[in-house]
Amino acid sequence: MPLLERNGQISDDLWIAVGDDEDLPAQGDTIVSYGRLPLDAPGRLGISLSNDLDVGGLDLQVDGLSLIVLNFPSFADGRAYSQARALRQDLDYSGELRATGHLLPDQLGFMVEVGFDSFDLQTDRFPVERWTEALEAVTLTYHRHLSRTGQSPIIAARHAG
Amino acid sequence: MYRYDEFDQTFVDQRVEQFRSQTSRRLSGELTEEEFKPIRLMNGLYLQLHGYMLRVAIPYGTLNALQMRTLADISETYDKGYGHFTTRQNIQYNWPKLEDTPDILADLASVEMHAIQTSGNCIRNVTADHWAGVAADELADPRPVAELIRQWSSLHPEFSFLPRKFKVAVTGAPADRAAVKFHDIGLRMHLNDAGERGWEVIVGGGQGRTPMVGVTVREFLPEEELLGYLEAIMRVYNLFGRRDNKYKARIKILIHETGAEEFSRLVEEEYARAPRPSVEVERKELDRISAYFAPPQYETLSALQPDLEGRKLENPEFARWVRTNVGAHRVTGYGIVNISLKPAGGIPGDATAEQMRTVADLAERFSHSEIRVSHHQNLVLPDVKLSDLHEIWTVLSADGMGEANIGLLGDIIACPGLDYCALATARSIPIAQSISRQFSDPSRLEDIGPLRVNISGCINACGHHHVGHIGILGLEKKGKEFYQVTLGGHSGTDASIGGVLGKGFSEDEIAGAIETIVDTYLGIRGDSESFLECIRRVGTPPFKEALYAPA
Ligand code: SF4
Repeated sequence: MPLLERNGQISDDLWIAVGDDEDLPAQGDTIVSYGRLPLDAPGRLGISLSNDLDVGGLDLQVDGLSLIVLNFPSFADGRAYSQARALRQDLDYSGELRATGHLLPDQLGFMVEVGFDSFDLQTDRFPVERWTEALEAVTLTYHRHLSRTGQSPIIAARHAG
Repeated sequence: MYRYDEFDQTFVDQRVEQFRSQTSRRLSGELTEEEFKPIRLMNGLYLQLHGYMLRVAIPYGTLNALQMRTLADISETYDKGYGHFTTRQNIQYNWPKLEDTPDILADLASVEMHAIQTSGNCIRNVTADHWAGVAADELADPRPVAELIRQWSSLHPEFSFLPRKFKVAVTGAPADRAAVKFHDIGLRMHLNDAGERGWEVIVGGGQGRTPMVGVTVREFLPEEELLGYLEAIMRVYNLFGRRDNKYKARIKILIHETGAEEFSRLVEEEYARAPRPSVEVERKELDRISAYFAPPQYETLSALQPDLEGRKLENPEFARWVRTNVGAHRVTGYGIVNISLKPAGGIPGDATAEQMRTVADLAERFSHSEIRVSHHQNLVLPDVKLSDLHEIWTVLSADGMGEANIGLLGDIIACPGLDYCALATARSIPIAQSISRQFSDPSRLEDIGPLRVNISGCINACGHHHVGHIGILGLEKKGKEFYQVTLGGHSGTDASIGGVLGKGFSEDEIAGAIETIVDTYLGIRGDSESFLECIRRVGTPPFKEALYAPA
């Protein structure tokens, strides 16, 4: 399935998602659920977090992780936005942060702003341009300390210096 | 009042173009209705019984004459020549076409307005005391903070897909005209001993199916910390608020189920942890916004207005209107004119394009171009010289807006009900019409005194019947509408939720039942005892007796 990066690039997803009762493959980059940590992985290690986990309250060691996948079971369920923010700001996670589930192009701006880098597009319902256009629809933001996007925080422009 | 700078303008313009593209994708079928729904809702577009409804934000109920004229123009170009002012200080158009809405939003953007977040599960348009900045009893104007919150909450990336809608109200006065205890977050200004402003943070109030009075989680939050603290509250709600049942998804239920103390602990913990906006920058930003709300140049006027007194003596109708509709202004010689949109037999809150233009003209001539919308669905000219009152009253009366009933029984709040709303179980507008027709004699209204009647067309309580001194809730049984009556609700500083009286009444009976309640009150009230005070003293028994005892 195609993967969209926040710079608008489309790539193939080379990560291997491993089910909870499956063994790890001998090689490759793997994604497991949070419950399987700690774990020795053959290649780079990623985890998937369900959206009812209180990330801020987890004793999560983010150092060894190269990818964290957050879930949107429905586009209307916005918990993973707060999880993303907590990973970036409270846990200082700096690896790749990926959104998966029921995503809509119209939400990408928000997702990028709270810290997502890549998007698992589980649908071909929308043409690719729809996703890339959406990344650029609104270039300004009123927010204080999020924004990793190249969007300009209005507050900083107003009170520069 | 606030004016957009280049950033605000670009932000809103981009938003219009984004919605234009989203609308065309819906029209082409690329987006399903289910997927379009949250998008259109975040732009104020609802699907109602007969078609779309567009709700336009009037942030904290403040607008200028030019904006009011644009609202009038929109109602003529794209709708049926009228608009409906709502209990959240917004305006609704009931008959727009989907394909026209991007153009409507563009017209709005040209006068620094938008419809962002007037619906949907996000932070809604913030409301404020409609007398903000001019009320005699006010500590300071709460609108700079309201504007700060408007901007901060606009397209907030973290809080645009909340469990449920989220409403914020602010007031800078001890007399609560903004119902701050009945909002998801209510903010009430206090001054400390050093004279600095701080905010009491009240969380978890609300109406709907489960009415609750909010709880105070901070008594005095320094102004510069406000946004950081609000983010902590929003974060706890976004993560832990219930999403399994939309009737249990408001923050009040979360607080009720976790307990106020535990909730407050979670918020404090989150607030201690999160990086916060810089206090210095927040101060600068508040100062920047506050400069727009600097009071206008008032003239030094005398408290004695012989001319006005003469007019009042000549014309008792005018004198009554001054008594009922003009509020105390903080500057001597000025008054706050409250324009009733509640003519006897009319639809509460409706105004025609012509009436909107009349108000815009009056604002330009007499009120520094400024207008307010109150959450009682009326309009306000906030800065009027007392010597101009007579002319204003004359113009208003000629255009059907001279009703002297502010805060009285004729000043009924009603939701749209079954005439428009897809969720309704009963009609509410015709009930408001029949009651206001029955109580149309202004001298009788004045004799009855302050009395709030609120009507909702279903248990979602958009007509705020829980806080009506008399609340009316429209229900349905076996295909017949009936109306349940509550007594003793109140949304002020000493807030309370009304109690149900007993068996409901049919549409034909309801005005008579109100008549009986009022007569009972008139029979037992003490000296200058208001309806609410009387209910609080005697309770419901005398009213039940009068209504239900076998004749
Ligand atoms: S109270 Fe019910 S009928 Fe009235 S507007 Fe709200 S949802 Fe509709």
